[in-house]
Amino acid sequence: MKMKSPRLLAAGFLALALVATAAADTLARFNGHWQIDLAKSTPIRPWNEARLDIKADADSAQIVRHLRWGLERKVDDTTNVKTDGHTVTANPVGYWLDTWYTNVYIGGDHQKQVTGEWLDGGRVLKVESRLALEAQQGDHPVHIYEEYRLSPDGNTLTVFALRSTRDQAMTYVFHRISKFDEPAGMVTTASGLRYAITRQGTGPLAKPGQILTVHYTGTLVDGTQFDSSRSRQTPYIFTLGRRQVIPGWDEGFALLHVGDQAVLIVPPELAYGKTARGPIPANSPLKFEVELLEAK
Amino acid sequence: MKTFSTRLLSALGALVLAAVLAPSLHAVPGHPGPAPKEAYLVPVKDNWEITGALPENLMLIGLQGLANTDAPRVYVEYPETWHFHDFNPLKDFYATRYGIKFTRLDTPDVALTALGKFAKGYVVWDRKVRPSINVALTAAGVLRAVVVDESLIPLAEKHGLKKLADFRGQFTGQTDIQIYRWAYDKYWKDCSRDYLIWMGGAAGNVMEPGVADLGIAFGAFVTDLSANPKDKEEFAFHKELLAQMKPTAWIMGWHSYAKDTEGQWVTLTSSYGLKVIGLNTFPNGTFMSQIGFSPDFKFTNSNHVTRQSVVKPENKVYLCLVQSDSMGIGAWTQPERGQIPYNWEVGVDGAQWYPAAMEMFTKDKTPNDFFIGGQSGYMYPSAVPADRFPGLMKEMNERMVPMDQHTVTIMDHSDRGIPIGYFDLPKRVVDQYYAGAPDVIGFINGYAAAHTFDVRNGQAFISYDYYLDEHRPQADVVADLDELMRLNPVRPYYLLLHVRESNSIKRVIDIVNALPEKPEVMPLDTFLKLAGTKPTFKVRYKDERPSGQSWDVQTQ
Repeated sequence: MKMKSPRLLAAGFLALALVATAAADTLARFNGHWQIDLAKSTPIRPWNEARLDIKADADSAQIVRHLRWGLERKVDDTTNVKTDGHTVTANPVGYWLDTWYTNVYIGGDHQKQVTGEWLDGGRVLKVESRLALEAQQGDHPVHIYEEYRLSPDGNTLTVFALRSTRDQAMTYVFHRISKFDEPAGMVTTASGLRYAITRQGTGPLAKPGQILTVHYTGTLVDGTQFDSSRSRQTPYIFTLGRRQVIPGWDEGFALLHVGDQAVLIVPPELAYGKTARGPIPANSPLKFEVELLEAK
Repeated sequence: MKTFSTRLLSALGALVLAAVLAPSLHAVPGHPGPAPKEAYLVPVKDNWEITGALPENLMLIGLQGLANTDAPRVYVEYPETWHFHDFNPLKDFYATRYGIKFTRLDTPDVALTALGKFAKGYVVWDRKVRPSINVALTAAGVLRAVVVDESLIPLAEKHGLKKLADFRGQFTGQTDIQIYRWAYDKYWKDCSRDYLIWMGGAAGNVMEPGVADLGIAFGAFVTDLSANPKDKEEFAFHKELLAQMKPTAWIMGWHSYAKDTEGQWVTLTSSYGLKVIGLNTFPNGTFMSQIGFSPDFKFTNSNHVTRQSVVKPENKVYLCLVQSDSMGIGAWTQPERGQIPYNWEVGVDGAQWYPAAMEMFTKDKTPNDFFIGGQSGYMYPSAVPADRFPGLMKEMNERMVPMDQHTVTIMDHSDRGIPIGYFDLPKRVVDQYYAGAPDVIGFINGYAAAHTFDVRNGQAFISYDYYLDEHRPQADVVADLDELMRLNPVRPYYLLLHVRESNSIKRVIDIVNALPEKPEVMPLDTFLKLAGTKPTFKVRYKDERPSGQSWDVQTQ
């Protein structure tokens, strides 16, 4: 048998390497944080927020599902899966999270057996789970088939799910997160400031000209905390409406009552604009978790 | 626009009517008696802001409390948008069914002309300090005074009322705990130990004091102290008040949404074995609770079986539809009512606190309408001390008799910190119900779905298998119910369904008709009897629920 030339072999290896790199690049596009689009998804109530954090490579994937219900309840559900299409990975499960409508709980040994596989050149992640659900009459085996499909632009993740006990398919659409983690009930003002009061105080509304004593923690969109009065254990004091602070603060604190805790999302034009400032890059929107302690 | 002479005539008419009404003392709130021949009608405005119409509205509701302390003399006409809007037709029902002739007191001036004699003076609250309203309401009950803000002082004095207390400036800069502690030191010794008023609900510039008339009539302490353990001082003071109440006391009103949660508040109240009558917006309590059923009316239920009946379950799905929220926020008046068996949750306290409303709603029941009851008000049995439970069960049994009720509904929210399954009950609570209510046909439990199930001596204890959310699309609901039938393959399968809020009866009928496996829709008493005869469910309690240690659970 005639030996292939070293040049051909090299070319072959290069081609394989290029394909592998392309596949790896495709898989890497699953990585990141994903926010559910409730309008395009099967209802998830009582949960009013769902996020996915995905870390994937050629051999495995980790899918962390964050569900939140108001301010009171949140749960994180982690699934680790080998993606060779064969290996069965056992994952512990405590609650059946998909609904509170039905009397269905996790049953059996409180484990789910999961297999994963990359399909279509890494554009689709298939995850199959087997577990026991406990209903009124006892345990019942259930097989769940899910496909995580990435859009061509890499910004939309659609999860199709089928359960052996249910005729209706479920669809969940997620968008890549490139913005702050925001509480429910955010309000946008005419200037573009976004805010939500996360705990109501009982004091009076802050007024321009008053000296405010506040606590705050500021973060960038990537989660970097750039400043915090709480970390310094020293409240910050300024006069409201006198341009002693960024415009987003003058506007935002004028919306608060003493005792209020709130989240302010300040667009760059109401913060530092095109100017970089210390750890804050130019054109950065800023998130502040604030508390109005006193107004004199 | 009314002329001066019209107002004068109205005022004179009111004076004459006051003279007629004055001697007819026969009752106190919470003790229904015969209806009066005449009563006053006092309208309030559709604005509940401290800086809006609240001062005037509050004065009128307080005046109602003073006037109604020993007889039902005054009915406040709330705006159409008021929270208990299903009570709106009640005034007309009193007029037509009970023959009460109402005289309208259109303005605060006219109202004070007619009713000012029930007050010994006035107390002034501070518009800049919201909790001073609650202190003023407490003082008003103790001192028998009308509550006014600064702007209404001239009106009160015009009617010869003297200032008995003035809280303007007194609490400036003080915390709620400091204010309420002052009120406690000053008035608590003279306040009722049978009633406490929680004037919570809306916060900030808004107050909706529908229950203020009861507070004043009872001489109750009025507050909105927090039930959140994080608010250490308020929480401790809150407990101090509850500990001093009589075992049979009622907590009337609602918690402050700005301070704590419903779960925290009711759990704390229940931990003292006390019952809650909600809400702070509950209207006309002093009027409704002094007028019983009309003479020729007897409250009866559409009972189908008794505790001793024998039934024969078949191999099918039995579906039972329970509509909570009293009459279901409008569902009762829908034309489809009566087409399928429907079970309506009506409080056992209705006969005490709003008999006429009960009569108005239920006088035209159909054979397919079945009423189910339960313990008084909001009470979470898991939180109730064991030594208080038998007394509460005795009271429940006694209250079910005039309501002709033979099934018990339970809802426990005390463990809401966990994400799923917090409506389940531990075995000790289930044991207490079986011990305390041996004669009822059975029990149902939950709000959302739950999996506490039991059966003893033919009495089934069943939790909701499904929660019908008014917002959930019909196709999803049908898929949910079909999935439940597949997860529970043995027949008979007992599917208890909680119909919530504004779900229409037509929507429910459409859902039932769309199910692939047709269930038989049953009234609750028969449903429980069938389940008690041939149970196919697994007996479970909360104690067996997985701990969920792997979840990051945050509670408020």
